Amino acid sequence: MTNAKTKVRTHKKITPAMVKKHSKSVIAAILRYTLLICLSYLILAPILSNIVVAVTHPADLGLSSSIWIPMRLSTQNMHVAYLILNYSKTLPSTLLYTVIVMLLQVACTLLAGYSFARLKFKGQGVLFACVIATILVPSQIIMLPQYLYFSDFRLFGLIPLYNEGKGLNLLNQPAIIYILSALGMGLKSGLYIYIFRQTFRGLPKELEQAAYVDGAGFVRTFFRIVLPCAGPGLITVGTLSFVWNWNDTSFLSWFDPRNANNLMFMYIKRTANMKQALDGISSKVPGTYTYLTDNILYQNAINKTCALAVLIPLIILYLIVQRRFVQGVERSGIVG
Amino acid sequence: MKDRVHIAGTPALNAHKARKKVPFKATPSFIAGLVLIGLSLAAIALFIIWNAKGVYPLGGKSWIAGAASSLMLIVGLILLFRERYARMSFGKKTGMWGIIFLLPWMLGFALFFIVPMGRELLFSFEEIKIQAGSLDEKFIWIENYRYLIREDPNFIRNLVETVLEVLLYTALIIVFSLLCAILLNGKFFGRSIARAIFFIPIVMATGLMLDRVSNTEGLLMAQSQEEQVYGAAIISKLLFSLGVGTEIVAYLANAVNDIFKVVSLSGIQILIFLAALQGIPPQLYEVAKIEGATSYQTFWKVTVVMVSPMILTCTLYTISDLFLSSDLAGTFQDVAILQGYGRSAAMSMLFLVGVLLVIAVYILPLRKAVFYYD
Repeated sequence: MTNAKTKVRTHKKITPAMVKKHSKSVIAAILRYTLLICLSYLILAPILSNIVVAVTHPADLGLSSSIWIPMRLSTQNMHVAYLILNYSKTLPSTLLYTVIVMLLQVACTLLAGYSFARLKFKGQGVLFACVIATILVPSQIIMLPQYLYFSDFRLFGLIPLYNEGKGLNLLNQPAIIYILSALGMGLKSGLYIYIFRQTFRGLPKELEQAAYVDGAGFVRTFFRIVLPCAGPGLITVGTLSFVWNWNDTSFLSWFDPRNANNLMFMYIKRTANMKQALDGISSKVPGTYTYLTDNILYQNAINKTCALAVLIPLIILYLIVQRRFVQGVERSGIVG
Repeated sequence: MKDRVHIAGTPALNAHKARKKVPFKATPSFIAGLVLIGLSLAAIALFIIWNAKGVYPLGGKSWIAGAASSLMLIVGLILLFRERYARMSFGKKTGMWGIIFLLPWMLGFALFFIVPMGRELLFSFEEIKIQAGSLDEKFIWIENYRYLIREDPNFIRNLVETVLEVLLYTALIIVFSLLCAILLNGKFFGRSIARAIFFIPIVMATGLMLDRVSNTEGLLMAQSQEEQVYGAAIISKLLFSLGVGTEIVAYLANAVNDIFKVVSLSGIQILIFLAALQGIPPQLYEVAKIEGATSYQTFWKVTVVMVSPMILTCTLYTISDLFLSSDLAGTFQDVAILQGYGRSAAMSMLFLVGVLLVIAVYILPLRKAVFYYD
C-alpha cells in the first residue's frame, strides 16, 4: 500500500507546464460543453414546448403558471388535432405512400450507384456528371414540363397502342411520384446515387473478384456478396429518403394537388386557415371540451399539436434508427 | 484489360476464345429467341396498324397483349444473346451489366430530365394557352424574359434577394457545420447523446419544412422563432440599457434569429463533416505534433485540408438545397396557373441562371483549394 502511494505521489508532481496543459484542457472542455448545451437547447426547445402545449388544458393556455409544466393535463388538444388531420385515415396511407416511394427510390439508386462504382463502361464519367447535374438543378424548374407530360402519358407512343389510341392521364394520383422515384428522378435521388457510389467504392474489390472466380454471375454476386455488405449505406439512404419524402410536398402539390390522404399536405392545407378547420370539425367534438374557435392562443396551440402529430412518426423512427444511422454514415462514408 | 489480369484462371481462357473465330451455329436457343422476337414484333406491328386505322378489337384488355409482347421481346433477346454473352470477355460483360444496372436511371434521366429541360427552355420563348386538352403554343421570342426583367415589379428583386440569401447562408452553414462536427468529434462524456440531438434537424426540418413553417407560423420551428424573438428581446433590452445603438441591436437580434435557421439547415452537413473528420488518418496529427505544430496550425494545415473535398460536396449540396427550399421556387406553380406556362418557364430559366451563378461563385475558388489525399 505504502509503495503504491509513493508511486502515485511521484507521478503527480506538479510542474508549471502541467498546470498550463491541464487548465487548457479544462477550459476547452467547459467551452465545448457550453456550446453543446446551448445548441442542444436550440434544437430541443421547440419539440419539448410543442409536447407541453399538446398536453396542456385549453383553458390554461397562455397562463404564466403553465409555460413549461402545465397546471392541468388533458388530451383535448390532441383529440382535436387528431380530428383535424383525419389522423386515422391519413397516417396509414401516408406511411404506405412514403414506404413505397422510399423502396422504389432506394432500389433504383442502389443499382445506379453500384454501376457507377464498379461496373465500368465507356462514357460512364459523362453520365456521372449528369447525376451531379440532377442534384444541382432544383426539381421545381422542370416540374411544369413533367406535369404536362404526365397529363398525357405516352411513353414513346407505346401506351396509345394498347389504350385505344389515347395517352394516360396520370395526374391526381401518386402514380407519377412512384414512376419518378423508380426511375431515379424522385426527391434528391441524385444525392442517393452519390452516397451509394461512395459506399460501394469503399468495399474491398477482392470480395467480388473471389465470387467471380468461384463462378458466380454478376447478378448473384451483387445480391449475395455486395448487398449484405452495403447495410450502412442502405440505412443512411433509406432513412433520408423516408424522412425527406415524408416532409416534402412539392411533388404532391404539382402532381396530386387534391390528395386528401397525405399527412403533411393535409397539415398545410388545414392550418392555412385554422378557424375554418376548427369550425369544420366542431360537430364531432364532445360537448364537454373547452372549444375556443376564435381564440388565437387556442388556434396556435392546436396548430402546434397538429405539427407534433405530423412529426411523431419521424421522431419514433429516428429514436429507433438513430444509433445505426449515425454509424452508417460514418462507416459507409458519404466521404470517399 | 486490367480486369482480365485480376481474375485468375479465366483470362487465358477468355483471351483464347476471343481470338478464335467461332463459326456461326444455329443453336436451339438462338432459334427460339429469333422466333419469340419475330412474334412480339409482329404483335406490335399489328397493334400499330390497328392504331393507325382506329380499330381496337381487344378493347380494354389490350394492355395485357402489350405486356405479353414486351415480355416476349425481352425473353427473346435474352435467348438470342445467351451464347454470345458466354463468349464475351470479362471487361465487356462488366460494361454490359453496368449499362443494365443503369438502365432505369438512364431512362428516367432522358425522359424526366433532358426532355423537360428542353421543353422548359422552349416554353420560355412561347405564349401558351390551354385549349380543350391541347396546348396552343405561340412563339414570341424573348417577350417573357423582357416582361420579367423590365416590367414585373417583384421577380427580379426576389431573385436577387434569394441569390444573396443563398450566398450568405451557404457560407454560414458550411462554417457552422464544420465547427459543430469538430465539436462533436473526439471522445467526451455524453458524446452519443450530443450526436443524437445534433442530427434531429435532419429528421425534423428539411428546408421545405422550415420554409413553410416561417410562412404559416405553425410547425415546431415557428414556435422557436417566437422564442428567439423573445430571447432577442431580452438581449436587446439589456443592450439598450447599456447604451448600445439601435442599429447594432437590430443587427444582433437578426443574427440571433438567423442562428436558428442555420442550425436547422446544417444537420446533414454536420454528418458529412463528422464522417470526413473520422476518416483523417491519425498519423497526420501525430506527425504534426512531433514537428511541433500548434493546434491552430494543425487545424488549418491538417484538418481543413483533409476535409476540403467534403467542403466542396457540402457547398454544392447546401446551395441546391437552399434554392430548392426558397420561397421563389414555390411560386412557379402559381405563376403557371395565373400568368401562363410560358412566363413560369421563363421564370424558372432565370432562376436556373441564379443557381448557376451562385455555384460558380463558390466552386471556382474552392476547386483550386481542394486537396485530394489519394
